[in-house]
Amino acid sequence: MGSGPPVIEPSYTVATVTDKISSVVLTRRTPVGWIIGFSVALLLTMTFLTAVLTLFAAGIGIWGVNVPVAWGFAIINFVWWIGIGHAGTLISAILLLMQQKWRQSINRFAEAMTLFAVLCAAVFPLLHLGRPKFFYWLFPYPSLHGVPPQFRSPLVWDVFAVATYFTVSLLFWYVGLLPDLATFRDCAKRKLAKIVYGVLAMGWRGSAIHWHRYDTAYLLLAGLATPLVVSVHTVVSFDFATSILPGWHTTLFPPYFVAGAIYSGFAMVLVLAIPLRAAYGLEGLITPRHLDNMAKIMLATGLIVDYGYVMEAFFAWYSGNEAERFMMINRMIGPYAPAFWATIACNGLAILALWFPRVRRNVPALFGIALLVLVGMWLERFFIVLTSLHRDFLPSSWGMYYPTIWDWATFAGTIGLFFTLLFLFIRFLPLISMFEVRALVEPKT
Amino acid sequence: METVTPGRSLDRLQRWMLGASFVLLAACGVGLLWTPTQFFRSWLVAWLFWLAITLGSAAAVMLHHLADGAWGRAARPVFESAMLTLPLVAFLFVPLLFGLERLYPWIRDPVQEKAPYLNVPFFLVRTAVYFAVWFALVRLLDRRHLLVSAPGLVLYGLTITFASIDWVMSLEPHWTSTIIGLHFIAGQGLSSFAAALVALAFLARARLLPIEVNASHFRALGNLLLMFVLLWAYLSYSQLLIIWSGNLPEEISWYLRRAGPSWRWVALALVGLHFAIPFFVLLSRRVKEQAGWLAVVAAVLLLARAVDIFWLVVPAFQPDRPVIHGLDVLALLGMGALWIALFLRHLKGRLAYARS
Repeated sequence: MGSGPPVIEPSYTVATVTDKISSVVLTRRTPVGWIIGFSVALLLTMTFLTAVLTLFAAGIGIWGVNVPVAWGFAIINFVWWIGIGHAGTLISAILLLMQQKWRQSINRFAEAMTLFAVLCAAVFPLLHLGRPKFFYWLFPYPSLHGVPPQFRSPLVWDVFAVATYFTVSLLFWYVGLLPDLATFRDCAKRKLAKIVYGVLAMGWRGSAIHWHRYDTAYLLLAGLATPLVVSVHTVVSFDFATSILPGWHTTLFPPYFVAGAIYSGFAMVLVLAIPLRAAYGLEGLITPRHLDNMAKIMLATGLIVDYGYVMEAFFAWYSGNEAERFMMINRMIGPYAPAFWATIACNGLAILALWFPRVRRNVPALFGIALLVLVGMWLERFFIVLTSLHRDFLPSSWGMYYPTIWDWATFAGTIGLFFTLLFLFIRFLPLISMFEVRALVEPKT
Repeated sequence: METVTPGRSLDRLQRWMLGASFVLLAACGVGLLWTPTQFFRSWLVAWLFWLAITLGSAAAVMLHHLADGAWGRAARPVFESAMLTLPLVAFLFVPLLFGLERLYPWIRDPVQEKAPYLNVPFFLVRTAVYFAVWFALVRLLDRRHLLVSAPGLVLYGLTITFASIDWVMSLEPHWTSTIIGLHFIAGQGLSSFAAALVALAFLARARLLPIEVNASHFRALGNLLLMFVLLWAYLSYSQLLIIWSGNLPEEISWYLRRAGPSWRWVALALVGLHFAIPFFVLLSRRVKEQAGWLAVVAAVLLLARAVDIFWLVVPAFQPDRPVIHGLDVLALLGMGALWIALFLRHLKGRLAYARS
C-alpha cells in the first residue's frame, strides 16, 4: 500500500479541494436524494421511538426473549453496531500512526460513522436492563444503597469500555473538525451559519502555534484511541467467553471478535462511501485506490474470521466433549442452521471474490459484497448468541427464540437513527477532512 | 566498508559455529544413549525454538511484500537467509520421529474420542504435509515468485496452527485452547524479528551491510518488535483470563501445572521478560534508534522465547520439577550453532549479491 497511483486525482488544487468539499454544505442546494433519504431515515427513527416507548410502558415482555434465551436481539444488535464502529477508529488512529496517507479522505465520515454506531449500540443494553432508569447503578459511584457493581462481570467492563470509547471517539472527531469548522466560519455567507460555525471552531485562527499544539494533541489522541480498537471488542467477546457455555467459552474469541469488528466496519465504510462519492461527485477524492485498499483490509480481516469458524468447528470435535460437539452439530443442522449457512455463504464464500483485482475495481460488485458482509456479520452474532443459549446441557430446559415485531422495529429503528444522524452530518459538516486532503495535493510546477 | 570483505569475517564466524555445533551435538548424542527420554524432550524444545525463527522469517518476507515499508528493504537479506535454513530444520526433526512414543502420551494410551486425529500414521501424514507446504513456500519466495505472499500467509497460518496442536497441545491430550495457533504465530513473528534485529545490529556494527541502514530503519523494526510483544501478551492474557474465569477441570489443570507452586516463578519471569520489561523499554524512541540497545532488547526477547517454549512444553512431563537439564542447554546451543552456520552461508551469498 506504499507506492502506487496518487491518492487523490492529480488535477485538484488547494482551492478546488476546499470548494469541492465545502460546496456540499455551504453553497449547493439540498439535493432531492438527500431529502428523500433523510425522510425515510427519520420515519424509521420515529418507529424506533414508538418501539422504545412501548417497551417502557409494557416491559421487556414485548420482546421475544425468555428463559432459556434471555439474550436475544438486544445483544446481537449491540455487538453488530459496536463492531461497525471499529473501522472508523482504525482508520483515524492506527492508519495515522502508520502514516498511511490514503486515510485522509475517508477518516472524517468514518469517524462520524463510529460515533453514530456506538450510539446505536449503547441503546440496546440500556433497553435490555428491564429498569433502564437505574442504568447509573452500573457505575461504581459511592452510593447509599450498598449494591456495588460486580467487578468480576465483563458486563460491567462493557460499561467502562463503551463509555471510554465513545468519549475518546467524540474528542478525536471534534478536534479533527476544528480547522475545517474555521474554514466554514470564514466561507459562510449567512449570518447564522457564521455564528454557529464560529462558536464551534473555538477561536481557531490557524496560527503556527495553533497548528503546533494541534499536531501534538491529535497524535496523543491517536495514541489513546489505538488500544481502544482492540479493547472494546475484546471486552465484548469476554461477555461470552468468560461463561462456560459451549460455543461461547473459547479462548479464540477476543482476536476473532476484534477481526470481525474491523471487517464489518470496513464493509460499512464501503457501503457509505460508494453512494456518497457518486452522489456528490467526489470520485476524485475517494479514488479507486481507497476502495481497493479497503477491500484488501476487508479480505484480510474476513479471512481471520473464517479462520475462527474453522477453529470453532475443529475444536468442538477435538475437545471430545459431548456438549461441545452437540453445540456444533446443532449449529449446522439445528433449527437455526439457515443462519449459520447463510453466514458461511456471506463471510466465507462471497468475500473470496475480493482476491481478484478486477472485483476490487468493480464498484457495484464491491458495494454488493460489502452489503453481504454486513448481513453475514449480523447473522454470525445471531447464531453465536442463539445456538449456545437455546439448547444447553439440559435437554428438559431447551427452548426456541422467535423475535417479535417489536424486536424488528427496534433494530430497524436504530438503522434509521444511524442514517438520520449521518444525513444531518453530511448536510451540516464537511464530510471529508479539507485541511488534510489539501496536504495531499501535488504541488504544481 | 572497504577494508573488510564480507567473506572473511563471516567465514571465520561460520567455521567457529560449525566446529562448536559438532562438539555440542556430539554431546547431545551421548545424552541420547545416556537418557533417551530427556534427550527427546530437550530436542523438542530446542527444535521448536529454531523452527520459529525459520518459519517466522518466511512469514516476514511475505508480510513485507504485502505491506511494504522501509524496514523490509533493510532486513530482507537476513529474513531470506533465515528462511532458507528450512532444509536443516526439517533434517533436525528426524530424530524426534524415533522419540514420538516417549513424548506423546496418546500413543501409549489412545484417547478414544480423539483417536481419528491423534494416531501415529495420520500424525506423520500431517507432518509431511506441513513440511511440503513450507518447502514449497520457501522455494517460491526464494525464486522471487512474490505473488505467493497473500495465499502463502493463509497457508502458513493454517499449517502452523495444526502443527502447534500436533506438536505441543497433544502433549497434554485432554487440554484444548482455540487460541493456540495465533499464539504460535505471534511467537514465531516475535522470534524472527528479534533474531533479525540481533543479526542486523551485528552486521551494521561490522560494516557488512551493502545498503545504508539508519536509525529510521531500526525504529521501524523496533516498532514491529513492540507490536509482536503486545500481540503475544494480548493473546496470552486473553487465554489466561478466559480459562481462569471458566475454571473447568480439563482446562485450568494446564495452568495449575504451569502457574502452580513449582512453576510459578517461571510464569512470573515470562511476564517480566516477555512482556513488561521489553514493553517499557521499547516505548522509548531513543532505544529504538540505537542498533546496540535494540539488539540487547531483542536478545532478551529471544531468551524469553526459549523460556516460553520451555514453559509450554516441559510442565507436561514434569509438573512439579521446574528444572533445566544439561541437555536442554546443549540441544538449544548445538542446534543453534549449526543453524547459524548455515544462516551465515546463505547470508554471505545475499550480501555479496546485493553488493555487486
